Amino acid sequence: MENMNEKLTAILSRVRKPARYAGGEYAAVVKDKSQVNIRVAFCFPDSYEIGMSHLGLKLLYGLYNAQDDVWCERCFAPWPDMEEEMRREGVPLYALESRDPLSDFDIIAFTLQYEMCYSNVLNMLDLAGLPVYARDREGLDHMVWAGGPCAANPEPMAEFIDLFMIGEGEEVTVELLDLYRTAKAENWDKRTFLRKAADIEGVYVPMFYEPEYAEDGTMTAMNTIDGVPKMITKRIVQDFDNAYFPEYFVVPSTEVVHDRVMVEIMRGCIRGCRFCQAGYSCRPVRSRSRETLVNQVKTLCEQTGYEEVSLTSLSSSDYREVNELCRELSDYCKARRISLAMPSQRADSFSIELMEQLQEVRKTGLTFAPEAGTQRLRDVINKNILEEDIMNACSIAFAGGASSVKLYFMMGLPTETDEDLLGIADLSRKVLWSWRQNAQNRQRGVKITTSVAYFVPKPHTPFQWAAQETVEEFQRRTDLLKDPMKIKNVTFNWHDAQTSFMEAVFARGDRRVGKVIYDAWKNGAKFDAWDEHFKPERWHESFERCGLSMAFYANRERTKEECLPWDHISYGVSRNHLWKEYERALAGETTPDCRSKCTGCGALSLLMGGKCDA
Amino acid sequence: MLKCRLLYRKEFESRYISHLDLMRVFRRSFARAKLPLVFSQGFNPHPYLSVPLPLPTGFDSECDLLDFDLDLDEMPEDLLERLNAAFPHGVSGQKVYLRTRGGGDIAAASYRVSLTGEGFDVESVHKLFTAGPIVMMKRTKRGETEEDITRFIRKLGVEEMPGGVVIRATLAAGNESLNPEYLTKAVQTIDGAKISCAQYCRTAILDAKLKEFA
Repeated sequence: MENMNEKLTAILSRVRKPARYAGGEYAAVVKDKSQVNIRVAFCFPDSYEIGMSHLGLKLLYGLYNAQDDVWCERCFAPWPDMEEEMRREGVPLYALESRDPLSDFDIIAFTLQYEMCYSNVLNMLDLAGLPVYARDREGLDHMVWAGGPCAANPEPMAEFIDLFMIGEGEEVTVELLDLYRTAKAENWDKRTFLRKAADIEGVYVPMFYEPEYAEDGTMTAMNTIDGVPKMITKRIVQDFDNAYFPEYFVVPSTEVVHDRVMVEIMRGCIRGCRFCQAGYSCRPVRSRSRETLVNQVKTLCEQTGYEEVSLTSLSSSDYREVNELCRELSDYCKARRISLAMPSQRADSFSIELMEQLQEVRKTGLTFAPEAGTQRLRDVINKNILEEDIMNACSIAFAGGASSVKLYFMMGLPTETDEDLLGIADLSRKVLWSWRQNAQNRQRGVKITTSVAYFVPKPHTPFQWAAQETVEEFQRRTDLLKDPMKIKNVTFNWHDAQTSFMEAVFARGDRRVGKVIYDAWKNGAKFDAWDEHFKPERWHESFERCGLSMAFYANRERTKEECLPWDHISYGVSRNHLWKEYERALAGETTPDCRSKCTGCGALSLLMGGKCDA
Repeated sequence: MLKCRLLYRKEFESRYISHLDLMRVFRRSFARAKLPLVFSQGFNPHPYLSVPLPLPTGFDSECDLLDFDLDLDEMPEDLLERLNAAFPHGVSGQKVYLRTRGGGDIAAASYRVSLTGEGFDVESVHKLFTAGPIVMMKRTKRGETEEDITRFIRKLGVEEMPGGVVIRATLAAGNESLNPEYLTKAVQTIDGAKISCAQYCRTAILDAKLKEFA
């Protein structure tokens, strides 16, 4: 890269935050391309700052590059000012390490973290000069693979992606690379490769699956061709403690959102909150041993020089040895001025010891997610947290010196009434009272932030059959809450209802939604996850042009019998279990957490002879 | 405690690292190299790390300086090696020494400005800078003012290069300074001049006697 492309040099002098497009970061992997057999571009369809914050990218980057004959590079969506320059100067989308255009790569692997990034996937392929539709890309080169949480319902993106990896990527990636190696050596055509890939457990190749629709627009069947498996079951790592985990992170030279050491202490969650897709799709529960985690933290702190460590999982305080782990790590971190953070703590397992260990180096705010304002509604969603738990956690936190608390809620949960909503304001007020009663030093003041997100029903959860409230109703409910939320020291935040509505459409969309994504992208849609670029009218117009109803996908309750667009994808949890949980939700009945009593959800069958560590 | 100064180059991909980001890069590089920095006391301790003459984002430098205090009694022999192994690509330490002079002694800096484009050549550019005052709007801490930029030029030479010219200029730096981008803006005022690419490289940091500042 010593003789940098002159066009790119000129462009980079004109765009905002050019460090995002330069590469060369510490520990970026550079290989001799004449010595590698397979070149992979790992694409994150959002900005560099978001993508470089993502642990999955670091993990898979390491995993691909651990194979000697594979060189995996990174690629992010260029911000519109950069895109404009690139298109004008004829610079195709390139990977950061080699600056070679994406069209030179064998495999273009997208991670789909968020539905609102779909338009960016198309835009990135186009910027690379590649056809966006899978059927228009020929040959074994630049094959487009995708994985990530949005693969839970791959249908809206099915016409653009050659194959999806369902579930955890560590093992299936290696198996797919093996197959690709053979394909390349024996010069297979694309269809031959894809047909054989479809036989690998956890691989979904949409071209061999054809949906059938009834006159009312609902799906009636997913037909298979060429004898591919009728059901695709997600992959999991069999031995989580010994599974691949990178010993190095690429350290960005410019500020990104989460710029820290991250280790994954647990996969899966024992709680069974009925709205939570990760909680249902990441089962069974598996934990890493304390010893493994301490080693990973030390290795990565030394390698990166970071000043913060984050212990990640879906519900970190449910890690069995959480106190021992934090004690051991807080000694190590304190001596090195490294702060220790643990997001995703539950109010009912919050303790003063834990808080003190986590705040040894730098004091941070506390975050709790009651999710709903009344006990009745918390029971519907199976949050299993009592108001008492929240008040108890807050009093400990305030007595311990905390001066900021964030509270997260959802609006529009199934069966929600105005009374439930007003409960959000009540609870915020009670948290403020708790501060008045418990704060050691009231002169320092307090900042309580109550954030409300609109509920989006997600596939593979008990609420996959539920209707989302309309945008108008979301707005009415938000307006209803505005006055009661005018509380001193409390800040009230709410999301954009149109974004949540779009999310709901994509989350449960079928294959026909693909042409809407194409149409909206052709009309300029990109960076829809960013308020400044998201134009709801553009999407409404595209749906109209394609003759599809957004309300059909977002605001309609499904029957038990209806064939859902993702019914051929299994995350191990049985459809019956999800339905039973849906019925219990509507009846306001809770289900105890998996540690208290196994619910027999079915995910245990994914572990060969193993044990769910709930 | 050792009061040290690092002479380093900043080029290739690393030219896009902004000054603020560079401070974070250095802090983490020292941690990776296991070199203990002296931290400030107080509620939110931070390491003493300072670049006496910050470099604009997008510029290369052959001679930038970083001041830092090490919590050691003796300079490790392999210090430079360890740092270079910890830097991102494009940042490369050239030498480390104990600093004696403060950054306040910096009075000038030399730059190589490479301009490609059309409608200008060595002769016209040379004429421009020798003909007399060049009055331009110049940004200062107090806002925009009209200034004769030749007042800040200590030395200036023009050479030919394929597709354009190279200006080698020594400009005031430190308290009163001139960003070499003003030279490019001045060239743009030549009738018919169109610049397609301007590249900047700092080649020396100097004191009031125009001797190398070290």
